[in-house]
Amino acid sequence: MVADIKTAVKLGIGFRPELALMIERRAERGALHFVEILAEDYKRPQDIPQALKNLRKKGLEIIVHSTSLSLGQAEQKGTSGQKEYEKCLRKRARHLNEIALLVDSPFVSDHIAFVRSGNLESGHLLPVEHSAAMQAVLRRNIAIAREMLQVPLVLENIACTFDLPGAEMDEASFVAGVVEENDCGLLLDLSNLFANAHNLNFSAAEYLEELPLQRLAYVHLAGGTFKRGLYHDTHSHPLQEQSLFLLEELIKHMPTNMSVSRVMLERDDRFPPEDELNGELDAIAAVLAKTEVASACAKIEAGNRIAGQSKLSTAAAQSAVADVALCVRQEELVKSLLGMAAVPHWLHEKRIREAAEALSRKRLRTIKRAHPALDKHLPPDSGTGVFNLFEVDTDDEKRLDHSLRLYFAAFPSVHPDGCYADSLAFLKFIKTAQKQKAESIYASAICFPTNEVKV
Amino acid sequence: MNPFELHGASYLTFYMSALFFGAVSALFIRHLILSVDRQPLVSAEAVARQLDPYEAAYIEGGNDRAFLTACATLARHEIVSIDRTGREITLVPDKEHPHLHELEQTLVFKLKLGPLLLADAKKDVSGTLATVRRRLVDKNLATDDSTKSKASLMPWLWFAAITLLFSVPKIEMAIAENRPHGFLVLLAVIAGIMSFFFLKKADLTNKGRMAGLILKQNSSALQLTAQSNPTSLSLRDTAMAYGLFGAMAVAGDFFFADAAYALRPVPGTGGSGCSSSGCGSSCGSSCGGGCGGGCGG
Repeated sequence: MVADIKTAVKLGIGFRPELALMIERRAERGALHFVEILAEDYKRPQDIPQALKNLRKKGLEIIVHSTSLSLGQAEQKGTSGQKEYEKCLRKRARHLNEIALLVDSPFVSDHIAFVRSGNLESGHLLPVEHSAAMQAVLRRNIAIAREMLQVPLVLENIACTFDLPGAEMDEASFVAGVVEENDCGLLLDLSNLFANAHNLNFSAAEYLEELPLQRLAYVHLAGGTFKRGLYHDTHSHPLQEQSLFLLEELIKHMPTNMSVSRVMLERDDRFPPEDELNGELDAIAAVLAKTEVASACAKIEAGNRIAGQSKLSTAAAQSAVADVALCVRQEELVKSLLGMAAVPHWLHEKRIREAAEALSRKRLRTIKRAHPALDKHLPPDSGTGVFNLFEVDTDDEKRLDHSLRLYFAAFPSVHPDGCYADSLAFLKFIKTAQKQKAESIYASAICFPTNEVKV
Repeated sequence: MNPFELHGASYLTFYMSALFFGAVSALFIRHLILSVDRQPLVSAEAVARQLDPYEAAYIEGGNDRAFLTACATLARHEIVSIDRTGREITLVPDKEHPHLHELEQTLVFKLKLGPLLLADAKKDVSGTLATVRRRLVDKNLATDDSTKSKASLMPWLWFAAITLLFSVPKIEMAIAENRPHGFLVLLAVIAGIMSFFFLKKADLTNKGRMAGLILKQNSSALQLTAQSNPTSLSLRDTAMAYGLFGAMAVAGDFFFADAAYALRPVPGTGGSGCSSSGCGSSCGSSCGGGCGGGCGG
């Protein structure tokens, strides 16, 4: 075994049950300093596994991350949609706070993005328009979330394969503006930055120059893959050299007397052997060890804590009126990505179609992962019913994929309670499909009680 | 005060109190016997960290658990195959198997001679299972023969003595004085039956039980990974997961459950070929009941 590289920067990884053993072993060697957990994975405090508590006892820091606040979601002011969204945001932020306090997380993080529009759940982080109107929406939503949070909020940049027209500023200025204006910490995802720089053709180095790096709380790195000329930040492929190169660049761009304090690797699917993942973490550690690190970590920590406490008043932020057009455009984008409507003229059709396909594949994978024995529940291909609408392969795996696609057509919106609930809804769907004619399922798509969608 | 001067409900209350005291003190005696530690400086936590998967399996469920763990682990890594219905275990040919634990090695060695019934395979590896147990005895986690018999007999004798001491003389006195004594006899009989609880075998010392609990708690990460990403587990990790968590440890396989089923005694083979459990279930599932005379044509 290669000796672990010692670095002053804290090295971390996203905690997933699939990696729990590898994480524990690396932590025991002292070569891992923190883990990041997804708040959405733990619906109740008692869902926190013993393995995480053991890591905490060993001195590892646990950072709570979220993907569901949908801070960039625009809703028309004064409508029931806005009230519903605010209620939902408060509930999710309260949950986030509860988990953070439970594991003693120094801060919590979410994205500068939206994940749903109205009652449509995309199941993915979607880009927001880089405009002053959107900054106002974010300001209002961040203020609401902060009312529920007792720990600082840190915001992350997202990856995207398409650009939204009508931007009033570039992404870096937009992110910098949001972080500065709302007095938040910055979670910089370098792999997302690489993806966007590649897909949307801008300079990552210039992007770094514009960011308020004195607010940097931690850094995400993840693997991805190139497909048809686009880079997809999949979190299920090996870490790319380009991301490591960007890490070196970031360190060079850090303000004087400041250093990157925490860097972590994300891996969410297609989990490689332990050695391979350790190799990726070692590669990150090697980059960090190459650079001179100052003892500025504590300063950043203190800064973030202060930042989190200086909350904007909701009343002041309420004055920011959500742009109606913004709201309509978000809905159009979500509908086109979920295959519920044609791609609107103002979007890049080819890229949206590709993104829609990627989203569908992702939903398929996550459902199968959440419920590994799903194929066992498929009815035998008896010659009648939904599974014979098209020519269906006898192979169980393909039959499952096919029936899942049919389910997606009937229920385009991802289940609001997550992938496991989505898998259970799918099982309900196939049971119903057995009873009814497939055509009637299409004609009158049965919807989730909380999320009515008509196809 | 002489308790034998009490009569009726008062004596029965006294007798029940004496039995309660006897039971609590018998448990305490058992606890004391099992707490004797020849290595008090080595904590249960420290010793738990050093346990190999089969020692852990023995602590969790004795010889059976250790043997089933070996079968399921080898089956999971495709070194052997288990035939649930035939109750056999067979070596997969041309399969390399480096880094096996001694119990796995012994099993593989025996299977090189040909397939075995699970029950026979267990007998064949009994020597190695005994070695695993001996190591646990050396670590003061399992009881040696003397401690085992002391931990069963002494609490039993103590409780039985109290049961008899306060019942027999009083019953004799009651008979002599022609007093009612039915309830006392009944209580004494119940206490006598209860006393057999204290004869329960003590396979593990208190330290052994504690080490098992600690190891299970410390292996939560292994449990999570075994349930979500079992293909990433090494042979040793698989064995530890089966050993500690049993049949449900590893997601997506039934090797442990199959081995456990195959190890169960074969139902009796009477003249009609229909023992109550064996035939009843098979006919019931295949042709809706009707055992004897075939399956109803």
